Amino acid sequence: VSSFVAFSIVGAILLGSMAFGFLAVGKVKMSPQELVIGNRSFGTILLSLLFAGETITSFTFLGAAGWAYSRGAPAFYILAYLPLGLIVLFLFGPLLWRRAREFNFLTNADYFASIYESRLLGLLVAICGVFFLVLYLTVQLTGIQILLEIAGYGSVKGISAGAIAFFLIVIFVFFNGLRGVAWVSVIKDVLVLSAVLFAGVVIPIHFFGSPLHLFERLREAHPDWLTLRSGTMPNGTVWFVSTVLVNGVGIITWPHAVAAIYSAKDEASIRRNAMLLPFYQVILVLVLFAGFSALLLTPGLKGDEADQSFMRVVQTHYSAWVVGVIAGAGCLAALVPGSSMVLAAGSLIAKNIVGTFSQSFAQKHQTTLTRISVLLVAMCAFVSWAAARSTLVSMLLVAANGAAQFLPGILLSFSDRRPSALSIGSGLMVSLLFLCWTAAVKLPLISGINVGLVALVLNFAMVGLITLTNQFGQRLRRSGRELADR
Amino acid sequence: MVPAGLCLDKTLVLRDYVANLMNGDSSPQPGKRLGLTAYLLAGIPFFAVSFGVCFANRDEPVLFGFPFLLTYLIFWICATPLFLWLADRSAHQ
Repeated sequence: VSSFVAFSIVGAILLGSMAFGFLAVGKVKMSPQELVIGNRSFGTILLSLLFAGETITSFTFLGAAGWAYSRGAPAFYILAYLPLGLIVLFLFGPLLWRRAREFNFLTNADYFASIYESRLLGLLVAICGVFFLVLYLTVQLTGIQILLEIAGYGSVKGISAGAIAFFLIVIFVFFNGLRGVAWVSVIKDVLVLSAVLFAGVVIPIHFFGSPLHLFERLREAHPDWLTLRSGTMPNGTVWFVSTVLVNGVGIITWPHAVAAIYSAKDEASIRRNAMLLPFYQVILVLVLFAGFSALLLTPGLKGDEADQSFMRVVQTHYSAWVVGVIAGAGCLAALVPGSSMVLAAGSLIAKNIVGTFSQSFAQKHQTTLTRISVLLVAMCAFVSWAAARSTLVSMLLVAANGAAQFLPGILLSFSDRRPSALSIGSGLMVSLLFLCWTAAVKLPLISGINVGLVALVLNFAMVGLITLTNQFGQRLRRSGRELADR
Repeated sequence: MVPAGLCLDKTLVLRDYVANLMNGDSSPQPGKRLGLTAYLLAGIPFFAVSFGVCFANRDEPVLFGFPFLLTYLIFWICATPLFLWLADRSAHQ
């Protein structure tokens, strides 16, 4: 009975929010512009909803509590990287948007291809982007699976239920595009907010009297849980700073985040959105409370099970409808960012990968092509997730750190002396090869620093090196010519 | 007594602002150029939530039961909008 109640609530939430999205979007004529970047028309509120939808994912929902449960203070990085990302968005988002509007860009690969005048670089960025997005999608799938299994009270296989939920949202994206995603975010945010308030306020008060007592009990049981280890130790302060930096810049480098920036109506909306969102993100503190409560209530979960920690508490101590609402909120937290990811990946394939080989064909059928690519990407993510999950987990760090490697290409495009496409491309390749190598030998830290930041430094160094060699070569040729003239 | 004209002005400004927020039919605003002051202002919370954490990595002093590190981060998340707002104000059209 419990599983039936919880499941019907999850189902009602998913179907209800999609119906809401259909109604809200209404009869907007679908062009590639409208489908992928909402026709560059989103004001501050819609933009904030979209950004809140994309940044607070099922990972933040389950993973933040899971980290608080299994690691303690290192989980605070999730609190720190979001405001940092918004500062980066505030400073550079408007510049990105300005060029995108001037040259009518649709994807982040368009940006690279056009600014650096190289379709090959655009192709490289598009292929990497699709690869990272598919990997990131599998994280969301795992989140959905965990939530549906909890809502099923052990009687339902998460994979098949996850498949249904996932394809439901793909159909939704197929018809409604990014505007639909932004509107569904309204329901998602309300539900996530109430779920988080429940998990972070009601649970501590119920079991410990108040959050204050929660921390007292935590200090008794785990005295070193609330501070980071010092310096270069694993999960120490050096790791913290480097991880916050690498994850923070993701807000202007992830392809789906770039699409969200493009969707803004004007530059002021982007800035205002960056000023508003920290107030929303501060609620993540409550998710950490939920994780700490779970640690005291159901200790001993190991490995992947830590991510289920606070959901298990809810499942054992509260009635089925509470489980249903929280699981439904969590599923939306996976599906909203998931749908903007499939959309971004679909547009990369349609515009930049197919477009490189046959521009006229890609232009003529762009909307249809984008929609077909969306289906393809979703299928691809689902099949690889179902077939090879354990391999994917080790690849995930490559994706998360890899997306940050687009940073040099974006930042240096704003400078007066732009580097060449060759230097940007080789910087990207070198850092990605480095990241693949670290994943292969299972090396997440180099003297305490997150490998993502090391790769980023390598990336910038490579760009600088090639630019300098180029300049040196040019000067050599010029002086050679002068000598010959004499 | 507040002059009537000023009141009218203020309501108009407020209405424009809300219309802008809600993506009404207001026209898009022109871009701004951020100066050095803006970058410096935005840089303060940027460094506080990244490198600053090295100096705030303590449990004491405990405020409201929260460990100091958590209080520090919450403070800076809430202070970020203020700094960004000041940076926005410092920029000229």
